[in-house]
Amino acid sequence: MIKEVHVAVANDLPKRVKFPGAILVAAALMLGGLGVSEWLKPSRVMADELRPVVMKEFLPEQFGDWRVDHSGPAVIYDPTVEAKLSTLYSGTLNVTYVNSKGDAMMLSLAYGKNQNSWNTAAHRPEFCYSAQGFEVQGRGQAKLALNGHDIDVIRLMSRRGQQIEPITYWVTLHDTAALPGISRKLQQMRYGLQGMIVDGFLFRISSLGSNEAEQFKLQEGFVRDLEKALPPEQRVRLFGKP
Amino acid sequence: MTGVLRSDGARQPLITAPQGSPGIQLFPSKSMTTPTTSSVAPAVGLFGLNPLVSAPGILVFLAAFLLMYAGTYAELASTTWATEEQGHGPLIICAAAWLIWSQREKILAGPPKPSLFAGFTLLGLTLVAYVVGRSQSVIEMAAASQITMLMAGFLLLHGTGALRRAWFPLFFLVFMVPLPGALVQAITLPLKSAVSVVATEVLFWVGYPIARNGVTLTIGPYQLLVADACSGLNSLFTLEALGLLYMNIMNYQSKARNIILAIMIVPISFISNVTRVIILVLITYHLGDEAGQGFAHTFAGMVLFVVALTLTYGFDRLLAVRFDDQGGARGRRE
Repeated sequence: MIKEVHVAVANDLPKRVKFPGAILVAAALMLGGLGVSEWLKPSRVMADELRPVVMKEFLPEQFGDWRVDHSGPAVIYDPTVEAKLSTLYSGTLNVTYVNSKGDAMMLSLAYGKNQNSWNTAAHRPEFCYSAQGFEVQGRGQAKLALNGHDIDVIRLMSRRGQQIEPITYWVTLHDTAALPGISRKLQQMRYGLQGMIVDGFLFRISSLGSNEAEQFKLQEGFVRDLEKALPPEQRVRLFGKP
Repeated sequence: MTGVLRSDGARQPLITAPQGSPGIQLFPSKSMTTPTTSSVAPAVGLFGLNPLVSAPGILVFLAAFLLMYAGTYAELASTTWATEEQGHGPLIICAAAWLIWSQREKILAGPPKPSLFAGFTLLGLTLVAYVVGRSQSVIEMAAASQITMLMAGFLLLHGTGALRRAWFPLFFLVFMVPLPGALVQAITLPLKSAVSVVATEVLFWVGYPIARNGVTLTIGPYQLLVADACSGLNSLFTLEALGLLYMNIMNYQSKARNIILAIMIVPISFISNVTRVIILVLITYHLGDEAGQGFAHTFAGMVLFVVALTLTYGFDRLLAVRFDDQGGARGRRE
């Protein structure tokens, strides 16, 4: 009896396991995905199509009531920080402007040619300030009113000893002003899916003074004057399209 | 071996029984476990695989998978894996592959019951992430999509059971995904500060002339900057991966024991990293700047791992005292 069952069961068995059709479909889809991703890779390097950025000539020597202060050393950096910066950015610039009332404004500009690359994403002032011994407090996002449009900026308050330094900063991608983080990443992907490899700036200004509201107002006025003074092509690259 | 009976095969004799001999009627439910039936088909197929699983199916899936991710691997090899911080990626992949291979009989046991709907849904979502990640160089996303792609593969080849049984190696692959830059930036600084504070406190307490400003330590004539690599973030992930692998190999049955050990690896890796920073500071102070930057740097890195592994193992031995009685100890290893 048992033997009969064996035969019955054995006959029931397929000689070879059937090739699963689902796997064939899956493999075809996977290779299709590979093809689509190759096809969607951006190839237009926007930095090469626009006028090349020469950091020293990028900002005007004088605008509105402001002029470059050549008297003192701008900012002294730690050499390791300097080394790191040169791997992150295609160019950096630190300038101090002064106005007729004696106010000083420190402007720091960093330029990255390829914002799609894995290691050139702008790094945030919150981190480099606190790494150098500043105590940094966030003041959140704010809208900065320019001459034609508003942009989102981040405000910080840093303190080291007696030195109190309110900071305003934002980043740009091609012709859009953005804030670092997810929104910037999404913006970058939006450009990428249109085939563009975009460049971008980190724009940071700070002034010394314990009255926050006053300093932020001074900074806003400075930015507005600078925007007015720049030629249109540069304006878009620093402040985004209206 | 249950392999000879398909799910419908077990029912068939029951239906035909009234016309056939009565003996068959009694047999089917038992036949699934009787050794006699296993002699009909080989219990072990090609490469030790379950003979009911299509080996060509696995190979086709793997080939497509490798073609898909060859570019991602090449990119990782020249970027993330080339860094000192996250160079452990290939080892994680090898470990996961070895785990799956060594458990292949268990994972692919029983007759295949592909979950086509779940499998293809997951595959579709994964492909979207893969295409965006790969084309827009969001390498974290492309690398992470590997894991869900393999999950979809298990679902399509063998069904939910296989996916459940392969959870650990699949989860383990999380450690090969490069940490997103934003996350690294957000965690690195607080970690660096904490390491600097603790190292300074300890050395000051012992009596060294040390002061700290941010993450810059001043000891005697030397000024040392605690670099990003010294935050211990990456060694934390490497050690956590090693710890999980250790637990998986030890095969502890007690969940509590595994969880306690996994959590304890976090403070252990912090302590080890502080030890490394202290050693570097001391070497610089006593032997000079060159020694601190040269061979000693590598040496201190090894010290970190030795300290961490010793502490982990020691802590595990302590746990063994408590968990032996509850079946969590080595006595219950397979």
